[in-house]
Amino acid sequence: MKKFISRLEPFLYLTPTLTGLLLFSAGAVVISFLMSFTHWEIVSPPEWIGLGNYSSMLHSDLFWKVFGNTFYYTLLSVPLSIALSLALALLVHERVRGIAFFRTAYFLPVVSSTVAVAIVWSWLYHPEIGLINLFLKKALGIEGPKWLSDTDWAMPAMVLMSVWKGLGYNMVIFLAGLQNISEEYYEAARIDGAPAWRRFLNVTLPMLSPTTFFVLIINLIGSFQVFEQTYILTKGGPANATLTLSYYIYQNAFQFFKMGYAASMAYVLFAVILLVTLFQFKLQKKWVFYG
Amino acid sequence: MKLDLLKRVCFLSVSLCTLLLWLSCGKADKSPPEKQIVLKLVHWYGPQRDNWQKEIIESFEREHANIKVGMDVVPYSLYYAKTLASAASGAPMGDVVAIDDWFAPELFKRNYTVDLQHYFDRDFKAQDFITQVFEMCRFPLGENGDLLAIPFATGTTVLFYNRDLFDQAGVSYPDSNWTYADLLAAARKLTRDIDGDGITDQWGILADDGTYTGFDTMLYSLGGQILSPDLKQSWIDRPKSVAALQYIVDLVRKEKVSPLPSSLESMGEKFGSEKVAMVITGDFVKLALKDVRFRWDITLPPKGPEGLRLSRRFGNSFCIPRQSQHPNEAWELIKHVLTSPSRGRLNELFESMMPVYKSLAFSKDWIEGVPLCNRRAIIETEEKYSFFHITPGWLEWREQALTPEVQNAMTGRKSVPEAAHDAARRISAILKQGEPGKAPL
Repeated sequence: MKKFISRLEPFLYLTPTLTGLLLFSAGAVVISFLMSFTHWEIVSPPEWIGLGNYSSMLHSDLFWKVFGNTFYYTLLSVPLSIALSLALALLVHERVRGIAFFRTAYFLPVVSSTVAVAIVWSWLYHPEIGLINLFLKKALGIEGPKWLSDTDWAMPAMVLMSVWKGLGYNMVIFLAGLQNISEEYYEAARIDGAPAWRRFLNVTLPMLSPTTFFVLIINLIGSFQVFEQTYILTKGGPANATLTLSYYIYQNAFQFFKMGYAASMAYVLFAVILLVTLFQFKLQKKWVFYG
Repeated sequence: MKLDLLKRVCFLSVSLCTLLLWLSCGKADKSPPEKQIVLKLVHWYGPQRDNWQKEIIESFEREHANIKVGMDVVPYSLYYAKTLASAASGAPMGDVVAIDDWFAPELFKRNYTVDLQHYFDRDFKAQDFITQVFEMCRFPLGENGDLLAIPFATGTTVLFYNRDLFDQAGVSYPDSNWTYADLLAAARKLTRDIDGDGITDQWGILADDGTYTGFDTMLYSLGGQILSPDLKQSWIDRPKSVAALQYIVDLVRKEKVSPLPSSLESMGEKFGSEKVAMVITGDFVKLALKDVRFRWDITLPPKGPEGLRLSRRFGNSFCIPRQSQHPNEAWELIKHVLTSPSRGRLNELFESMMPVYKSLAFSKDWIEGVPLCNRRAIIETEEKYSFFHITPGWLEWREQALTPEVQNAMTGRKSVPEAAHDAARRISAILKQGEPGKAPL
């Protein structure tokens, strides 16, 4: 009996946390999953429609457009963000005077509010009075695009802002990874006569691969869930060119009050993220080196 | 002994009289006072909060000693979600709730509000109001629907023009005889490359991509229709609608007299920047032009080729939610807002929107309100030419079907007939999905 009570004791202490978890996380997950099989407009009672929402989604050309937009955003932003933040990490890895200032400066956008950043960028992108187009015109003599009003340029513009915003975070992780690589490997490579680019390819990249893998997974998940940028910069326009899955879910849930449909899309998004992550975990065996 | 008895009788009589007198007085004092009723008024006119308190609530409370009014000002960006959440939860948002035209049908179809027809018939004469506006408060939409709210402020779509730019280009000002052909001719003259670098610096007009009411106004005046008369399907792919849409798209693509509309700037901001000479949009834009340095004015929107002049109307109303415990008192408050706001503050109270009560609309206080412009054109447009076609699901078909397809046509990604066809298909699908048991498309 005493043994039983002593085994039970930890669970007693865990009860408040477990209760919260069950009620507010697990409960919400189960309810939203059930909700995805209903037609529910909040005000009227939910109506069970089976796979109706999922079927409608598959037959909706707008959903596929949104799905395509989300993948487009991911394919543009993730490689760009990883490449640039790695480059930046290599730069700030150098032990030069005042490097702490640069590290702080590059990290600053990460701690800035996305809403404020997006508003500033929306002005930078202004086709007539924005600094970017003014620079292009005055310095290079190029007539800049209409950025957020142009169906072809709106998504790249959004990607550019997101990459700039997230660069510092990835940079810090890469920096930590770089600092963990033992100097001995570089010394050995130098003795073997390897030039700098060779040392980068054959020492830095393989030794950094676990960090790169982590950054890749985090960025992939984040990019599939992109919301604030769409919400502040474009509201999904022009012509639905920047309508991404998270924003589309928000619109359906909280603007059009189609809760069931929104819940079903949230589960599709979850499945996509899960599959892509599992695929990456499968693939990592071929390129991630935990030496 | 006798004296003693007399004393006792006298004492008893006096005591009894005193008691009766006290009781009778006490009864008068102790009669239950008229029960104090507390009403809650909800609206989104944040900057006018103090004016509403002083000019409407305090005067109402003076006239109704037993009623106290609390005011809840909800930011406009949260207003729709909060109203619908209140409708869903069954918790009353207030006793008198302001609603905007575009989400009113969502509340009406969910049986959220009290029918106000009998109150209106009892206390008002229809001819005292700009009655056209009442259409948007009826459900089912149309003349025969129940009156589920009472409009208090309205507006319509008019032609704004920059007098300075017209003068500089030597173009005569638009008047009530203008047609869309005249508009195009003037827009061509007003479109200019001022510094000669091959890039247009000043545009004749700013086309509307479906985001605002200027699009509907142009399309319908040119003979097109977004919705069928029964509001159950889209007719934007019909030949006349396609031709009208072609005219609007041509302003940007073929004639190049309008810039590509941008989501970065509202119509008012663009017109206020002096980069466009004309814009057809909601008259509420006048408020954004209060402090501009150039001279501007408004007039009726032009006529279409068949002499048709139509203008999309909009407006704000008050409803009484079904959960209100005091519908009669709430109605008294609505009556007060409708007819008795302080004349001196009338223009500010409704943020320059036109009052629906005629004696207020035609009052000097509103007609000559700031900013000063041809407000009689708004009244004339409202009374003679305005129309309304908001349905349940309006926001969805507008944001996800109409505007994106017009943008596709304006950017050249789709031809006008193709964009119209795709828009019609999606709008009709969204209109159908409101039926019970239908999954969204």
